[in-house]
Amino acid sequence: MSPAGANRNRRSLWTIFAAPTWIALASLIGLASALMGEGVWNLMAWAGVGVPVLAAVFALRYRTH
Amino acid sequence: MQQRTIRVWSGIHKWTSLICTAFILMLCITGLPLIFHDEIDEALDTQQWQPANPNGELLPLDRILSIALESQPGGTPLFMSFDKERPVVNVTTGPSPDAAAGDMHFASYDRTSGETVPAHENGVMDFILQLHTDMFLGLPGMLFLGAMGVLLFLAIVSGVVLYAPFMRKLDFGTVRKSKTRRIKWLDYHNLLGVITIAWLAVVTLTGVVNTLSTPILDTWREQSLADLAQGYDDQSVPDPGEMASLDSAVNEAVKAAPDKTLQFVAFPGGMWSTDFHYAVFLHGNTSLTQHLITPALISARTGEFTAMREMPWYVKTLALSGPLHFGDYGGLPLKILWAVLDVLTIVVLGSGLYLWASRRRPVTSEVRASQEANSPSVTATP
Repeated sequence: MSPAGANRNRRSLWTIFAAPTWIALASLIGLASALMGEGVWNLMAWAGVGVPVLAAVFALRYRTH
Repeated sequence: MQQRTIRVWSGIHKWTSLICTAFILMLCITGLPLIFHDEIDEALDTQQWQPANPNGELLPLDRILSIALESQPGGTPLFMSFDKERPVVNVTTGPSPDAAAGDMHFASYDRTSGETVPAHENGVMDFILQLHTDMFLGLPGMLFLGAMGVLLFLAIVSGVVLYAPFMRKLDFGTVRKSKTRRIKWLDYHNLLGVITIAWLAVVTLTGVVNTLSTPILDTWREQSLADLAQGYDDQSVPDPGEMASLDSAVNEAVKAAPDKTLQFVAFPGGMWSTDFHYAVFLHGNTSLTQHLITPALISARTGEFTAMREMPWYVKTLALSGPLHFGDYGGLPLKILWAVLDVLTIVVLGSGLYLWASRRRPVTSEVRASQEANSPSVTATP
């Protein structure tokens, strides 16, 4: 990876939206899980809705130059 | 993406955001304590209430109702609801069956003694909730905030479209802190905006649905309950003195739905019933169906069981929009995540405002400058 984590070829739409799509899917599954039940469903909800928060932590920790 | 396309989407993003940002900021800030209203109420509630006769017999609902009406001369009953974990009945009364929320009177009664239960006094949280719901403007305020929600949703959609040209030459999550302040905040805005998108879209759309509760319930009464009013043509809404026993009405309802749990009773003439029926609402017992209520309608004058009516899809949507908006349906960890995402949204709004205030050139040159800022040979323009 170049110093700025960038400056290679132009990225395709899929490359640009891959991570955001997975994060959005995890969030939605999490939001729905807590409606379905307690116990394991709640764990799934926390994991799913936790994904965008972890993504923010990851980006601010490892992608900030 | 065509330069023209970028300009059009940028225009949509700018104007939808500018109009709604102040209100959405208010909603994010007031929403933050509301996520934890259960915990806050509990912490502030110092008095440990105990029923007068913990093992005593429960008084009939009719008795509680007459005590409540005696304390509010001239008042008419609107709702009766039941606490889950203590023998407490809550009675809402008002000057007329269709009284506005602000004119309603709410009191709680010990079912073992008929004495009043001290209310949870929490003026600050009530104030915040009212500000968040309708800004003290009633239905127009609620619908206005709903419209702001629609604008925020358009801002989210246009934001996703604009994300692509800005990210053409960047890895996901890159924040160029060493470049200009503007580039740094652009990167924060794009990153935090795109990761909160699904959550914010859900909270926004369910918030919009919640603002539509009055028209949704009006539609339900007209579509689902209209036929029940037939045969009552020349009658008025019954006075409390004309009403049949509430206890037997509730018993009829519980008998008709043995797999459900009693939640509240709506009296005739209000938003939640016809002019002539008790509507006894029961909810399911699974995690999903506990949010969904079904009314049993009982003729208020004769006490005769009339019908059990499953709610139409739009009332079910309204019911599920509650938890999905408040975030209070998956334990404390979900509430904490809700609060973090709320704060991230505040950063997105604030950085968006900063990017607009410090703008100096058209969006298309903005995209070019952002892409060129990666190249070490090109000095970023301030």
